[in-house]
Amino acid sequence: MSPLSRCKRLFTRPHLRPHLKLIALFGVIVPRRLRANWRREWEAELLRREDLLAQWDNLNWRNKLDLLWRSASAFWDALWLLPKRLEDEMFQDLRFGVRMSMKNPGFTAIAVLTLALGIGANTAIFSVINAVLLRPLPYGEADRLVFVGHSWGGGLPRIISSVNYLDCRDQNKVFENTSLVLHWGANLTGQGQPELLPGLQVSAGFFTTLRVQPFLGRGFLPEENKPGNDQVVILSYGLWQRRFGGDPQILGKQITLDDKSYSVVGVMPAGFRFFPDGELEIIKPGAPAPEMSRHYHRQWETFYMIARLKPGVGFEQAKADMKAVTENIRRQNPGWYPPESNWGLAVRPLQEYFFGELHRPLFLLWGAVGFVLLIACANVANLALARAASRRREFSVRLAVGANRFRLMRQLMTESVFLALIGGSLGCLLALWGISALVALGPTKVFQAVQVKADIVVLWFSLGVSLLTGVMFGLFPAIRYSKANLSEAMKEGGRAASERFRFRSPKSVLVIAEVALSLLLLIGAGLLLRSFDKTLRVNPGFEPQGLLTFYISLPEIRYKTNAQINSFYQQAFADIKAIPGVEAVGSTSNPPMTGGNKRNVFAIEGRSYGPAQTPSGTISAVTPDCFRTMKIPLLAGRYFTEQDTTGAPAVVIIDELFAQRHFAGQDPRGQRMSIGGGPWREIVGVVGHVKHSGLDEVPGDAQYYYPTFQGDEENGQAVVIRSHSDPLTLVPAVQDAIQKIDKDQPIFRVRTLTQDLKDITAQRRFLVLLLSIFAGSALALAAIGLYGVIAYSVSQRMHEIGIRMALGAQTTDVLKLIIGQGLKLILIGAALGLAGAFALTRLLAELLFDVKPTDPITFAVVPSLLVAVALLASYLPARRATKVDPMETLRHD
Amino acid sequence: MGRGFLTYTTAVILQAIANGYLYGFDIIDITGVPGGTVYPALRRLEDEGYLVSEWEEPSISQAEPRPARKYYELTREGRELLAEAVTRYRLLEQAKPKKGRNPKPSRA
Repeated sequence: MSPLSRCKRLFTRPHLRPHLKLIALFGVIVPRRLRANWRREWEAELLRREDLLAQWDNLNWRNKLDLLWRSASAFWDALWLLPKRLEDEMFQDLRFGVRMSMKNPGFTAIAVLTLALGIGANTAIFSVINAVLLRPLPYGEADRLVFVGHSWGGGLPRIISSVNYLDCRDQNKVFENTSLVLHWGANLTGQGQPELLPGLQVSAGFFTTLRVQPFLGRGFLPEENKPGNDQVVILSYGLWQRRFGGDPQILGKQITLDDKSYSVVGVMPAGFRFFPDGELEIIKPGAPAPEMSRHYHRQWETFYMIARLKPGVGFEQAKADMKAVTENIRRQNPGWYPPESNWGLAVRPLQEYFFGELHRPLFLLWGAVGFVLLIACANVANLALARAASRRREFSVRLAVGANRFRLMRQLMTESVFLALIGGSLGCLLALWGISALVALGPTKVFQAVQVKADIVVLWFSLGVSLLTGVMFGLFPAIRYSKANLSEAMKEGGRAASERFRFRSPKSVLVIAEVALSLLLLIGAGLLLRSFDKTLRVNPGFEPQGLLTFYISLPEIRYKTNAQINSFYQQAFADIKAIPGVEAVGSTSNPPMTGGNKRNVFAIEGRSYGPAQTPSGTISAVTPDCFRTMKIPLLAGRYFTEQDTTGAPAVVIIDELFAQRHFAGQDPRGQRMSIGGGPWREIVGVVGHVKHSGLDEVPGDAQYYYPTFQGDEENGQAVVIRSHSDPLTLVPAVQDAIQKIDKDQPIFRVRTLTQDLKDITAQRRFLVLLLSIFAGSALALAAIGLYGVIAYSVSQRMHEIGIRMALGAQTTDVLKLIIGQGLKLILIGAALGLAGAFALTRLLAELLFDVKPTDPITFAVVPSLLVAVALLASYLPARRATKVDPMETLRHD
Repeated sequence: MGRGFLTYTTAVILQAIANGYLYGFDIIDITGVPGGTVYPALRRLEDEGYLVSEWEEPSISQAEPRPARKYYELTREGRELLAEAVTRYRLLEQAKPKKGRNPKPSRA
């Protein structure tokens, strides 16, 4: 046979025609109802062509290839028909799913509600995470902004000194712009009620670094940095609206701040902030210069430095460059930074600097709420399993009649995804409400600074979570019940052989998982709760109850000499003391529990230190009565008296930590020390340590005090007043007293110290509150899940129970049987949960105060609580089982 | 779908059908348009109502034993569309069929 005819044979044998095979292959894509006709059409064309070619003896390789090529183009045809197929089948599944859900309103309602709560909670927490951690700061290209500062021992950067700022600015190679920022505040007068406005003093590059344009007017010009030209100010949008009525002619107007006249050159955009937790009303220019003698000092740290990375410069590059600059500065200043000093310059992304410490608590919350969602899913999965079980017959019939297993699975999944999407939409609505609740209850510092709202990212997240949830809980019944198991299902009364309680059944596994997860959450919440409780019990070192405090800042223009300041305060204190209800009055320049601090270096006579080993501590200038007002205990020596004032021998009081660290074993009284290179002062007393920046502050800072009029502190003081009763009732009288002395003098930040304490613990309290809510929900859900499973199993075993009771089993036997079943599940779940807790609570260690991550009390109490609740959940259906009449169950088959 | 879908290719296909090339593969042969374009265009035109499709008469297909083919015909709207196409693409006018070719397969 010639090769050609052999090929012909090969080609004409039906099962070897590749072009027809291709048509068969592509036909899979075509919708089923169109498939047959489609194949007919193509095959007819191909066969005819093949026939013609064969007739003309032209069936050579080229033509066969051409046939193959033509059949390949059938692919595009099939593809074009594809949307119809998806439409067809998906809509069919969807309609079916909707109908089934309508038929079982109970299941649908419970499932949708459970899912809505779980998905809603997740969405709400994610919105917070998105706003605080993921969304960039509201400045141009904010991911290029960094914070630079002093660091010790390679730690994180903190505040910087002006001299080092200048050196860094001049010597770096990686920054495009830099700027220095300083806290500032001034009294606004001459416009009605005087008001102390918080603000910033910034160097020239501030607006360029942040890439922010003022809403009105302009930023600062370079020449305005120099003293003499610097009496210009930019207002905040809120201030402009509030105090100046949104006057469009505001630019160029003069306002009086601290009795100096400033010209308004711009207005910031609405909502502009720098520090997230501080109000910003006024900004003035000013650069560090040698004339600012006190601030121009390599070790005086009060400044914040920000910088913008040059385009194309990476963060690692910046870090390396800072190392190089550090080396330079150390080499050029061996006196300040000898080889053993561990000083350095460090850099950190600005967003991290502002919000970094919130990472851990926020992700903890997210993990917790994720667990709650998992538990909710498990519950719904159990429900879905139960429902699918009741439809077993229907599925078996359909499979028997030739339904495709994948199609069946897909249909079940469509139903569950549909339910999940409905639950998700409802959850989004709930999340909106949840977000406002979170913002209202949450620590104001964080939530004032960021706009927590549901934006598009959050919606996508919610959609994703809903889909995932639907797939997850739909998978179980889909896999289980799409298997053909004809004989068992087709039986009449297909439950005659009662379903024995199988341990490895998915239902049990789910419940065990639920119990384990909720135990994890409960232990975490328990640990945090105990930690919080311990925090609250800490002795702050003074008595906050009954203390009122406010700030007052005397402008330099009117109060130039110490004598003037002295007389103001003496008069003020005398007048305030005269108010009925006031026990004592004092003032301090560095009040505790406000989140701020002042520190300075000191030297003890007779000891030598290298410049970089100089010890430093928290410094406060106080009036004599301050100790008594705040009830800080005296441990040795004496308090200050009225005699310790200007001209008298310089004195200082130290706290017990100071004494322990620097005078261990000695009596510090009579020794002398100098503050910041100032005159020698005699130590006349030792007082108790005060917790300055929070109840959980560990380790403490050495503290020392000097009399207000024996040093040149700033004029800003925090006045503290002790009252017999509720301090807030004194506020009007106090304001009157001050106004009588100086009508243009506002008082600012009037608050009680108990309020300050509450604010400082606000973040911790919020975390504990939320985690407890989540843990409680988890417990409730797990209990419901357990109840459901036991109740279902009981209903399946009614027959068996009936027999047992008929054969003489007592109520207690039945109870033991059923509760025993539940107990097994609970114990396994609890064991898993405990194991997980041991492993995972290490992650909490940073957030715990004075509580070990494996705190035995928590690990004992919480599981007992869980087991008790779970036992109750199993008891209820058991009780119902015993109430039934055995004859009834035996009859009802 | 507006008149925007009346591309040159579509017009050529319509003209081919009008000229008596009623089967899919014949259209491919005569117009030179590849199969992956012709068939989706045929489907689209049929959806829009410019064409109707029919299976060959069994008498024809059983004459030489082969499966029945599908052929396409212009509807009234199709003929209108073709007229518009011809005004738009003037060259189509020249593509007239030779007389007496390709009788309709429904008449044997």
